[in-house]
Amino acid sequence: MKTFRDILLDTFKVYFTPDREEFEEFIKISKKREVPAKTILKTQAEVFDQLWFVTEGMIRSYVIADNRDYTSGFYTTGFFLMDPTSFSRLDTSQFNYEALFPTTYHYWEYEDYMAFLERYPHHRNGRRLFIQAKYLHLVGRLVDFQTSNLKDRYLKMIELHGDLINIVPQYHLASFMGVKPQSLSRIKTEITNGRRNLSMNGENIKEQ
Amino acid sequence: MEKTLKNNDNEGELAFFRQHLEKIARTFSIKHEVLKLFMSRWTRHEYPAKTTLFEAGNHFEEIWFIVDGALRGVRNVGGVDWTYILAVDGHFIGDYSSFLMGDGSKLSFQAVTDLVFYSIKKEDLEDLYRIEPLINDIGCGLATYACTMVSQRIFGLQTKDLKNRYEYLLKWNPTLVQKIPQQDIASFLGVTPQSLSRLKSRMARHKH
Repeated sequence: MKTFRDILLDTFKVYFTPDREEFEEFIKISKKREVPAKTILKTQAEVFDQLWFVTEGMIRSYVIADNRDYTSGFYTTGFFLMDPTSFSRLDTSQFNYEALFPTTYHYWEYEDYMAFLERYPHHRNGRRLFIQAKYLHLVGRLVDFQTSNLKDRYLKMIELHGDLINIVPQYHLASFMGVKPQSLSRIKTEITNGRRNLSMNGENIKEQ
Repeated sequence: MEKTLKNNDNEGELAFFRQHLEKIARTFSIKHEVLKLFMSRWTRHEYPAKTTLFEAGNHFEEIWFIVDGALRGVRNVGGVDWTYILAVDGHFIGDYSSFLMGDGSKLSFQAVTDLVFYSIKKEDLEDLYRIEPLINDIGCGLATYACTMVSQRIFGLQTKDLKNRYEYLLKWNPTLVQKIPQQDIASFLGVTPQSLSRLKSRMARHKH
């Protein structure tokens, strides 16, 4: 099983290879939190003054508008999570966060992270790249919304978050995808039946 | 018409631009000298209404800031032009995905009204990041701004309620609604001008 250090390094390597000493320093200033399922981690009335990194489980972000709950994101192992606007301005967040399953995440307090950037100013570059990556992720989601069918979007979610996505409550996933739970249910059935047929065909081939 | 920014050029416009950058600078505690260095690489442009400023297919290598007027980003899908982006005074604008990834843009940009904007080239911005790491923080501000714009757009698609989407636009972009023709607003919201017109009539009736 991969450790926090391994998972963090894997995530960093997508963008750059960190210096060993700086990487150790970054790990040293992090803290760890383990929470049971359904824990509310932050609300939109609070300042998001931490940087989170998920190592196990799943966190959901959501917005409450007109007394309705709209899911805005899912975060699983290897995902960084922050509200850049709230974090930068130390202003209240627009989002709420909850652990959907038993979850472990590591986090950096605002002051500790800023002190790290003071000490290693070139990491300001990494912070910018991180927010830019978040932007590209959001644009991908917007383009999917506008151009991909529901089945492809659902398969993409599985690719991104693994099978954990299959046990996310249907109404949260449907809200995230902007469809009715019934429409999502039809797609899930279609995919499950497709896999079952594929598996049956596979067994037939083996028998021959 | 193009010219590099100097202190004695178009004082009012420059003050307007500086005022917006100072907001970002305050958020990230950027010093005056750093902001001055950042502003030194922007160029002023002035175009009449209906000028095509950028053609789809090219790499969008700049970030623009609108000082006066309105513009639209158009995406052609199946031979039909859809207004994909709308921007007015005080907005940063461009195809930020194309800017970051170096891909050809799917968008064309046109001046809706007579337009004055400032631009900075990607190579100049990257040069500034190298010269002064603190300018990365302004880059964070620009990326955060872009994230907010996309999140709002996604939220609009999630809720799928035209009234909500239009009210949101009125609340956060009243200048945009005043300056941009109804057919572009309708296209931006993904509806026909007639649907938008009916909604506006209904809203006006409820108001009285």
